[in-house]
Amino acid sequence: MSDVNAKKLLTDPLNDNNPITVQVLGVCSALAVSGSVKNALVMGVAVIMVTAFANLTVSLLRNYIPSRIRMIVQLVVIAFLVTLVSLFLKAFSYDLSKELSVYVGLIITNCILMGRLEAFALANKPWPSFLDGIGNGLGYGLILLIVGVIRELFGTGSLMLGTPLGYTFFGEEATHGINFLKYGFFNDFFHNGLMVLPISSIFILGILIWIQRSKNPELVDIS
Amino acid sequence: MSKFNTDSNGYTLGFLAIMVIIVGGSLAFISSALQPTIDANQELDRRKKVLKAILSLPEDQESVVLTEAYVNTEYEEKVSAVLVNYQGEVIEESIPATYDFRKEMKDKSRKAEDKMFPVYTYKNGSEEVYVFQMIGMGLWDEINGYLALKSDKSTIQGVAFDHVGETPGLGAEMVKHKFRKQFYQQSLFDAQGQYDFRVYKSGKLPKDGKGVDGLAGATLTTDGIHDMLEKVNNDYSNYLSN
Repeated sequence: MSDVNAKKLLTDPLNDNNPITVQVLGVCSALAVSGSVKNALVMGVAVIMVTAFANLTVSLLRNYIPSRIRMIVQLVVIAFLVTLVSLFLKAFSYDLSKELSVYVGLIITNCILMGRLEAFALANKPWPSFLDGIGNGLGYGLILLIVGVIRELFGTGSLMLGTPLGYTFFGEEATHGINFLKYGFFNDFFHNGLMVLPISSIFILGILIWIQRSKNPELVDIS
Repeated sequence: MSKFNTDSNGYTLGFLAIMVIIVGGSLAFISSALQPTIDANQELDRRKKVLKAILSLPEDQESVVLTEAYVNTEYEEKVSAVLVNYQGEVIEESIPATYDFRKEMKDKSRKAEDKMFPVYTYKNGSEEVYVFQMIGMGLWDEINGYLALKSDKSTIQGVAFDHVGETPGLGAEMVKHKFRKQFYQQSLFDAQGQYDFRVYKSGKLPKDGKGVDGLAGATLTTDGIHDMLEKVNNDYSNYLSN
């Protein structure tokens, strides 16, 4: 396995073969969990773990899985890993698991997982499959992060809230960073319901896809 | 590739059986191994909420003071719990392990008159605070919390809220200090002893400042919080007027 190939497996899903904007998979959770940067990051990490290890497991078993029940086997592998992630979150990061509530469980239904298992892991060796899983998880996490930054900044006027790096920029809660109160504008900043609700992700995601395709016309009509 | 005919019925069934045993067995093992940690987390979270309501700390202090060690020692030393009936009489001197507050409240087959309600008491020197457990319905899912009253059983010492699935940024703001601090030092009852406390729709708070301004963009969550407080008055009315 050459280095070029490994690099391509990792970087391709970030842009030209992005699971969300090009393959248009896993959009549901991308809409739901991108309300704040912190949640987007945690969800991204959880999905990276699950895609990588699901790809690895299925690739290791690929010659032994009976083809008639391969979907069932894939689903069991995914469900097993997601349950593990969910249990470990509950045991070692209880606050976070409470905040993500049902979304961790919903990774099971994330189409990226089934998509990659069917399209890649069943036909490739374990190591490339593992890298492909990490790459696609990263591609997913990247889009979540971009949408999360836009939604949190314009929705609640903050970034990374809930982490030690958290900043509140606008409104009377602004305690760090630029305090606009001094300057007399943005005093009446109310949380923007449109941005806070998952609906805004549809628009943001649409705009992201538009930008990506106008930069790279080859992507048009791929999916 | 493999030695077996992977398409035969026998192989498929055997594969399924082995897979189910491995996956089911290991999940059951991990789950039971982690269960004590998860239970401890849940109990710590519950105690934290009780103390949050009792201590009503300033915003920047909450995360600093309420560490795991502090919460556990403070709770074990100063908080005691009893079960009272609808008439306000103490039935159990401690809360039995079999008592499930959520189940008790959701039980539609019995009326409030036949149910039992937990009361937590916080004793710190001469200071005494009563804490009542709340449960209600937000916009999407269950909301719950604790209401701490001063020894006059009317003035609110503090509140703590929690929710299962309210909208982040809107209804989920109910847990924030900014919203909770509005409750502090307000009285649940008017001069005649009648229940008089409202959580208003956002922006509708009357000029005299009595009551609480609701959450912006989360009217149904706000209504849920109002109903939840009212339910405390209904369930504990005899206990509160004693």
